[in-house]
Amino acid sequence: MNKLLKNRKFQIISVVIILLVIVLFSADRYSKVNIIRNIATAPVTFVQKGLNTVGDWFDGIVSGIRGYAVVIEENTKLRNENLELKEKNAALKDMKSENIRLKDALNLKDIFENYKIMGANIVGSDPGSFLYNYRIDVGSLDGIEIDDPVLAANNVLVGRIYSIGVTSSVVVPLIDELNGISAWITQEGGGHAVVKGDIEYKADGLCLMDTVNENVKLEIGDIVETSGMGGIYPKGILIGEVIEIYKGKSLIERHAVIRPFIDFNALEEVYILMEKDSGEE
Amino acid sequence: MKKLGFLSNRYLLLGFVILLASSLMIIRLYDMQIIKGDEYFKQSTKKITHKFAIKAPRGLILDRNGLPIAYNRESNNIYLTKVYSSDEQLNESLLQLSLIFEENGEKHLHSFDKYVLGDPVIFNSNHTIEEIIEWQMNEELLNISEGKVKNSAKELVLLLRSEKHFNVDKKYSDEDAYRIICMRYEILKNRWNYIMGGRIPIASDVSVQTIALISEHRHSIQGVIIQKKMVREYGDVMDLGQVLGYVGVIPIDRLNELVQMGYSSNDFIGRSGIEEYAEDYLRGTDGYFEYEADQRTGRLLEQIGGYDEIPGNDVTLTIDMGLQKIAMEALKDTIAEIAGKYDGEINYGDASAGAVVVMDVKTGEVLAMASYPSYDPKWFIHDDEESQEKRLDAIFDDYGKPMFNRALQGAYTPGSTFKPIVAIAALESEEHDYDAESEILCDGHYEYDGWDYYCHEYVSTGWFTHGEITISKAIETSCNLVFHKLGLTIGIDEIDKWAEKFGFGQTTGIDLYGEISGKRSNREYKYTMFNEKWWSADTGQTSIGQLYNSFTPLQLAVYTSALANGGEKLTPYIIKEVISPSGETIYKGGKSFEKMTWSDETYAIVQEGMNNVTLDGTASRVFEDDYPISVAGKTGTAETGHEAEESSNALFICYAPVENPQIAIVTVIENGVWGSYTAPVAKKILNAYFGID
Ligand SMILES: [Zn+2]
Repeated sequence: MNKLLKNRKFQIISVVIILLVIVLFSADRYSKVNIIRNIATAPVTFVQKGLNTVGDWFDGIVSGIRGYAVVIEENTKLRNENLELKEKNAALKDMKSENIRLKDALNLKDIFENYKIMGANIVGSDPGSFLYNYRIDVGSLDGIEIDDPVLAANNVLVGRIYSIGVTSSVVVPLIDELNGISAWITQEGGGHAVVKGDIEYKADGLCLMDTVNENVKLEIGDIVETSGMGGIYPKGILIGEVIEIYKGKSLIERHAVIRPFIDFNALEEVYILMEKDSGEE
Repeated sequence: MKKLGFLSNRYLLLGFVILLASSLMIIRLYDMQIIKGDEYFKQSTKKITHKFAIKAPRGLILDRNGLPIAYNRESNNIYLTKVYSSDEQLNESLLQLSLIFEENGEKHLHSFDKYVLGDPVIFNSNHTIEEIIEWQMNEELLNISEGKVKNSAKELVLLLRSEKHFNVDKKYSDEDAYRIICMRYEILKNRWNYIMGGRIPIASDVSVQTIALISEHRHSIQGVIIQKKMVREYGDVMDLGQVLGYVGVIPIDRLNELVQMGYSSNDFIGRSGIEEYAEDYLRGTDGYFEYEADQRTGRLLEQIGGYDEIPGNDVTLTIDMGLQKIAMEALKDTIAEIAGKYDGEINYGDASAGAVVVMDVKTGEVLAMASYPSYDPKWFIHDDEESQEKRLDAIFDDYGKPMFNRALQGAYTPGSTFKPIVAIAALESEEHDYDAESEILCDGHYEYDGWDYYCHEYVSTGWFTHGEITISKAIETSCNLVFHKLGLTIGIDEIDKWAEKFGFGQTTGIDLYGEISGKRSNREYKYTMFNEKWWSADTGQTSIGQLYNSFTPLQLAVYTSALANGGEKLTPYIIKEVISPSGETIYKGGKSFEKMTWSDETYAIVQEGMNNVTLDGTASRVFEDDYPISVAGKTGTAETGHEAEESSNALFICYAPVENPQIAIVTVIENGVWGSYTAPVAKKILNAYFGID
């Protein structure tokens, strides 16, 4: 038995099988094998880092594979949009509105006094998931819990913790189609609404808003932040701005398209808000 | 490490190849998800058809100046809809939803506890054990075979937890399992609708807090839909309670009929007042929406059918809410003032209720109609504890009867306010030559047919008499003796002819339900009711507005308007117009009347008498000498027949201005002691209407 385990061939074949199993399971994010995923993600993160490096090295070889060129093109496009968004963010910073609190990381601690704030690096996309899930380098060992809010340094909402491994976790972005956020329209005549991810809008980095309270005078350019009433996100995290308004299924339902402030492509570091006493539960 | 050695290591090379293969696989995965993701998504999505009704908002009710009295408010309603999920996911979603409802004090549909209570788990004692067994075996519901029917609630819950039923995992506590079963039972009850992609209502009008919690846990609470609906809301309408009415659930005895007319069983309909009368105008046409949705998320993929909802029509009333408020406040304050003058002899301090009607004498528009005490229609549409309590108090208050619209459902003896009818009957009588100069003697006492009649002032002073006075003066002084004489001379049939022409004893035809016709004191009534012959003494009593006469304040307003406008018996109305959502006028209220004729001289005599009532007569202490408009009025004090223990009812009718009459006002205060006591109500209304400080 010991001999078998020490056999290099066996070791490598085992690694391949394990890899395959993980890839297959995690391909369906709705599969019931979250436990397996959690156990498995620790080594995967490690392997994935390696793979990315090797992947770079292999750029020349794989570029012929159909579609990859499109990815690069797409990336360029996104980078351009990125710049646009950065400009928008800069413009936002200039806005004198009291409600807009673009603050740097140091100030996150002041805004969210009741939370422990943990910084984390994005180490890759969640393998086998849709486009925008991110893997970060903190996990249950760091006290991270499922549904912990994830922010960028400037108090802009990224998403929430979707799943946790021992030393890494997966962040699901706010534009994911299963996500909902109890939102607050901060403009004068503002009020409650619900921001929801939508699979079609997600592809463009956008999301939707509905269940707008009747007192709200909904307008393009309205700034939307978290309401703090939904049980997951504390109040006052910036979500995005209203870029389009349309009628819903009945005469009284108003819907809007939201462009999140977060720049998913420029994202390198995120901050996780952890309940202060969460470690003792 | 040497480069060559590295490449020559076979194991390393193998590892390298494996690494390469894995990389390619991952790249392929990216290709599938990014580049062709959309296509794959569309192919892989399983579709389910969803459909639901869009409730049309009810039309508004506005006052004559466009002030919204009844409008609509947005309510957020929670529905369950089928998405593709396992029992495990469904149960967990339902449990979370149930906990959110509990946490936020939301009432949600919970019909399982009609049979099984949760804490402790026992059968609800409002059903017999036979009924509970029958319920368990109901094929449309639990469908438990006869052999497996449970005699204990705990065992039943255990059975329902099993895979055969709701498949509630063992990890759940008894409390949570009960919560899940309650929710699953609601789905079971509506399972055809659920399976067909319909929406199962589970909670209505939930708070923003509840919406926030459900929405933010959307990733774990699946198959829940938040849908907005417009629901009735009332402004500051307590003063208009009985006229406005309220909406409520369809009464069980009308359910079948209304469902056939397109209502659904949980719709609200007008249950009283204008809300009920104008139901067909106010009710909108529900819309419908059918779409294909993603089976997993319930997300809309494509609309496949449906039509927009059409809101109901807006109903504008003739009521002026400002005047209505003033009328109600004046009535309420005056009632309190009268009750405060308690003396234990004629005022027992029992004044507590009354009514006011203000009518446009040219058109029949009802400008104000107040009935005190009133109720707030909001008590009937809100479900908080205070509203529930007040609603029950209002329904069961047999003393104040706030649900009762005294203006058209209360009948009162008119007393002296009837005297102008007798005056007109005498002046217009062809057999007799009464005119402006005719003088009738009041010497305190008069005997006729063996009956004694007295002047009330002679009775109270022991010496005073009015002497020889004209009919106009008789109206001003309200001398009973002169009216006894006039009535006895012309006879009951002449009096009753005019009482009928003025509309007494018949409904006025106002556009509200529940109006009563009141009674006229005449031969027919006495014969029908008591099978008795009419005596001259009956005529004598009727001549001063007593005996069987009993009129509604609204009838008195029609009568007063006719006195003002020279003989047009108007049909009072309260719906001014109805406008469709597209702006079309689909109904317009208008003047309609029956004309009675009398001479200009008769008109002048009665008007002079009534004008003098406010100048020198019974109401002159209320209307001071320099009151800027001339008012024609008549007070009435009506014995209730229980004078030893309760105060007389008090009435005041008037119209103004005398030169060009515009409005008529009728005030009735139950146990108001003296007619003149109620005149301040009319004065406050006149002040407001004519802008007098
Ligand atoms: Zn007299």
